[in-house]
Amino acid sequence: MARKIFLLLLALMLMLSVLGCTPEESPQEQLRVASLGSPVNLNPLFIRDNFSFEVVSLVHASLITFNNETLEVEPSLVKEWSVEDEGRTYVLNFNDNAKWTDGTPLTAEDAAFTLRVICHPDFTGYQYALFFNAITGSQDYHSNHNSPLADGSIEGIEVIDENTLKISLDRQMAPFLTYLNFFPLPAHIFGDVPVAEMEAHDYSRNPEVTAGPYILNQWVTDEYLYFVSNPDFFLGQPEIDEIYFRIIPNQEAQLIELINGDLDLIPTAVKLEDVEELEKNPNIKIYSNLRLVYDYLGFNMHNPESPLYNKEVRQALSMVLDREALVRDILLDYGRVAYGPLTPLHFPFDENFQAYFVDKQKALELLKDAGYDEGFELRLILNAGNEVRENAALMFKEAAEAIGVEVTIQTLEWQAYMEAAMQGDFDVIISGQGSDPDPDLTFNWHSQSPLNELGYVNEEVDSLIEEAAVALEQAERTMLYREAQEMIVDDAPMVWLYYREAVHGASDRLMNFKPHPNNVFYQVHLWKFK
Amino acid sequence: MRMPVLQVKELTAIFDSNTPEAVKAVDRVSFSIWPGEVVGLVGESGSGKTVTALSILNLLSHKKGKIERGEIIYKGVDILSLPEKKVRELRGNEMAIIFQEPLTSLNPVLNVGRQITEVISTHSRISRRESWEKAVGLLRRAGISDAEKRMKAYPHQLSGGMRQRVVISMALACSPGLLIADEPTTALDVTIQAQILDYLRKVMEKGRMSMLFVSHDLGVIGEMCDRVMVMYAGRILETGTTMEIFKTPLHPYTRALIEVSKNISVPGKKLPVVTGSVPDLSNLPMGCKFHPRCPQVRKVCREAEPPLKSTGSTNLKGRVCQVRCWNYTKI
Amino acid sequence: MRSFLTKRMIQTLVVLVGVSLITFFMMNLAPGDPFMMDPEMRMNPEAVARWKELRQLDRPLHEQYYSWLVNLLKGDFGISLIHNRPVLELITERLPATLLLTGTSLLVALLFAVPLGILSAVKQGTFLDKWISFFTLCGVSLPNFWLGMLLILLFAYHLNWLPASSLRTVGVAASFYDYIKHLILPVVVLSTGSAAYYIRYIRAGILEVIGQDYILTARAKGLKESTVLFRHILRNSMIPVVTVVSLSLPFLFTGAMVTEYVFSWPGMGRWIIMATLSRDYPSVLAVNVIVAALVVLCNLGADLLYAYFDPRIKYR
Repeated sequence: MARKIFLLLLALMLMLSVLGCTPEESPQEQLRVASLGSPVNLNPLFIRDNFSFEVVSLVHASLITFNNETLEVEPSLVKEWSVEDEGRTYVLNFNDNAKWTDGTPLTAEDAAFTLRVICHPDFTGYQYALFFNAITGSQDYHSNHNSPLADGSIEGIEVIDENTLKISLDRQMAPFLTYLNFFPLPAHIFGDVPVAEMEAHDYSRNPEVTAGPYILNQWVTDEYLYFVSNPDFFLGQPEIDEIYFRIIPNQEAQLIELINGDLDLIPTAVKLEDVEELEKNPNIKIYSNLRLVYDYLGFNMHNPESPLYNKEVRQALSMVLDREALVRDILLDYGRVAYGPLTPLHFPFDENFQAYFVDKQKALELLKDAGYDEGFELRLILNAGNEVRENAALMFKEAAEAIGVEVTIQTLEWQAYMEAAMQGDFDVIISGQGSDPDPDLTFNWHSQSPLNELGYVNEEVDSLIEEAAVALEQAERTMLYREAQEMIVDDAPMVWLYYREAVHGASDRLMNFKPHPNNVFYQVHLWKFK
Repeated sequence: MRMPVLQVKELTAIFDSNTPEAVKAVDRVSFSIWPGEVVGLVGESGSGKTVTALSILNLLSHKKGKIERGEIIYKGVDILSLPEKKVRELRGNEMAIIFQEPLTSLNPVLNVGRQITEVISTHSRISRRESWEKAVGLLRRAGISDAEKRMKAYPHQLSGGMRQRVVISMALACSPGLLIADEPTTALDVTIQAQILDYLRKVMEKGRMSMLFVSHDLGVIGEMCDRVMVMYAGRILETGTTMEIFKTPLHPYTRALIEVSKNISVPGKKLPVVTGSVPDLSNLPMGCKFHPRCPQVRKVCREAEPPLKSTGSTNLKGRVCQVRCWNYTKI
Repeated sequence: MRSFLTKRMIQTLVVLVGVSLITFFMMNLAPGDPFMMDPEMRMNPEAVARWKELRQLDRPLHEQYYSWLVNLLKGDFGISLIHNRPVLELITERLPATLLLTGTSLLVALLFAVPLGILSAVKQGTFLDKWISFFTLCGVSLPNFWLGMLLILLFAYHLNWLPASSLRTVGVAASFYDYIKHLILPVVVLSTGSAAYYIRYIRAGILEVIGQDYILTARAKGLKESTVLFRHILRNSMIPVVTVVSLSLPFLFTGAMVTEYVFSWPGMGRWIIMATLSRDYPSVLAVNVIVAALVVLCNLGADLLYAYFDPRIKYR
């Protein structure tokens, strides 16, 4: 018996060693990209998570893109455009060689159809209310269209010919062009699909007809997505033949695989404490860039009873935290101090604008003026699992204690945190603010915006923002936004903390990778291996 | 002259304990058992009876004890010097043992038949069928009705008496030369006890088997045994024929035991016991181990332990009677 | 026996309904909803309302629960709110990977635990037993996360012998050897803990039996030590082992959340965590109900096995 088992083991080992000899070299033309999580949906109109957002730009093509450094609008499916009628009409010229993967040409009608889907009463994405309700007739379509399909027409959307789309707005809207970075859906596939059923349509999992640089070939659940290059991509067939989008939730494992050569790119998710080590590795290149996001320490201004309702108090609290130290010690200089709502990537950004430095004496005076020199207590909430924010919270707590303000830190599970944030159940919150490529401050700072969670109200700021949103000249907008920023910062609704850089690790063989503020696969068709 | 079936010489068995010295549960015990003889081993609990019984089968390690020295000679062979395999061949075959509690000494998850036939098949090369038949016969002789059916029963389905009959059948399965019965009836009620004793007596009548009958109950010993050994604190205090022991007990301890056994069946009275408490084996007194409880204690008793001395009288079969007491030993 | 089974079936149903009720209302009482995943993804209240309306999430909770229950009776576990696909499909996609991992780990764990547990009990108090006890103590107390990371650092990073993540190498033809290579580390992590756990149970079970009188009887019969061990000791010490093993069976289904995360294993555990964090109610409900059903079934199985191992146990 024992002999038999021994022989069996021996045979098994032999078998293993023979199998072990199969060559395992990965071909040159494969790019293996890591992601911490799995996408769930590849229909670009229904994306609610970052992981899906990362991959859609592989398979879909957008009307326009943004330059990775200047955020200027760049042509894509729309190869040129003109703005007429004092900024109320946009004429878009489509690239005439864009094709869907089934051979059907991608035309202006596809874009018009996609806009109808967005404006349809059954559409459940955010784009309509935020971006497109200025299109003439869109509100009528949104409230009165009574077919489940995205058929019919919207007055302000006019397909002039196959390659020309004219969009008319019922009011001026400076950022409108930037809203056109959406991905059109194939009208000939979705034309007879009710809008309410689009999200659950098989297309979300298995987008067979697309127009992007790559084509989804295989989606192995929670393991990887396998893409092959699209030979008919309208900007030319991509250089790299295949892309594996690998789902590796463990950051350390990602790093090890990158070092071992089993991965070629870790976008965004390289830990700061690993950077130094990685930089020593000759086979690995580290990229970093700012994104359109800053973290802040926000004050709840909804409650008139709260000390935070008082501007002096908020200003005083803005003068305690050493943000330079935060960026230096916690962010390891992968980022920069934020002083206001305009990010360094936005055109109105002012390098010289700085506000609130650590000044305990001044802070105490302000508190005294406001009648709070006896101190008070604050409850600070933040989400669990973000080390940088946890450190910022501790630093703030310590600093606030120095001026007699007792801060209680509450670290919450994500959902509880979000609910508390939405319901205003906090005094101080550490959170992040994302903004669009356009510097428009409406969504975050206008008193009427649903996204204005802190309850910031300043009528002068409202009118400045409104004015800037319709101003057509960039110089004028710059001036208005800088003015608004100064007012907002003076009101001290939050302590702007930092713009944190995204750090990417890539194999040094990978060329033409350009880190982009919100698009991992920016110009992916030009990427190639050495 | 015929040889004894079993000779125990200078048997010393110890148990590890937390005290620096191992506890001696049995201290230099020697005795012999002759063919066809029933020898009783009597004493209070903790006196070393069961340890002696287990030592004979060299099974003390099960109770975490070990034989420190001595010889156990069965039919001329010292089993302590035999390899384990050889000893195993003797167990259940030449020497069998019956334990006190029939319920716990039967495996609850195996049926009765299996437990009996496994002894038979271990020690003899006979077919399953034959060993089955043999087991049925054993049960039938042990007074179990429906023996065929009972073979398939599990211990928990049988009454206490029935279980003990099964245990005895198991012990007798290979017709052993020596049967060790360790309190075989203590756990049973009086009527069943009588039946079991009857059966054991009947088995003995064939005369080929010897028996070491261990009990704390002198009454039962008196009924069963040809000869009695009284044990106390790991030592033999007195040996003699049953007649002599009951008629003319010499050792004060033996006398106390007999007193107790006479009163045992008086209803409504507290269970009589020998006055004083059972000695702590890890902390035995100097001198005679019984002296703290002895009514006739003398100075010498506290100072030196008396040797086991022949009383001079030999019984019919020529076996010596002995006692360990300064009263009967010249200083 | 028949009435016993009927009784158990009724109990099972009560348990399942109870579990689903509690899960359903707890989930809904917990803060958050499926829209709060990512702060950078903006939602507009009107669209959210429409979205909920389309999925009937705007109806009163008891109505939602009732229709969920009715659908369940038809074998329909509902549609995931995150993936927009049938929950059952999501489960069947992930189950094979998880079963491969957890099943292998269970087998490996038992393969080591049974002999080591027996050895440790039979050689109780010896040097060997002490070493085994030491290792089981380590195995039980080492957190899977920590052990997993340690193994990754050693075998994937420093030695570069084994892969750090996933269940196969992408971009090469699938091979048996490749799967084995990916299985080794996670299986070691998973089986270390459970083997240690089983060893302790097996050892304790055997030690309890080994001192029994009937084992002395068995030895007194002259049986070989191996016969005593396998026929008399093991069968009697099986009950606690059967209990722990059957109670661990439902976890074959849920996967090992931490280990799947550490080794980026595309299985149930990771998905369940995501479903819970993102408040994907239908998925969480389905998992809870299935796990509850498995727990009840495995308990029933354990009870039936008790009766097999111990004739004293009878059900009616």
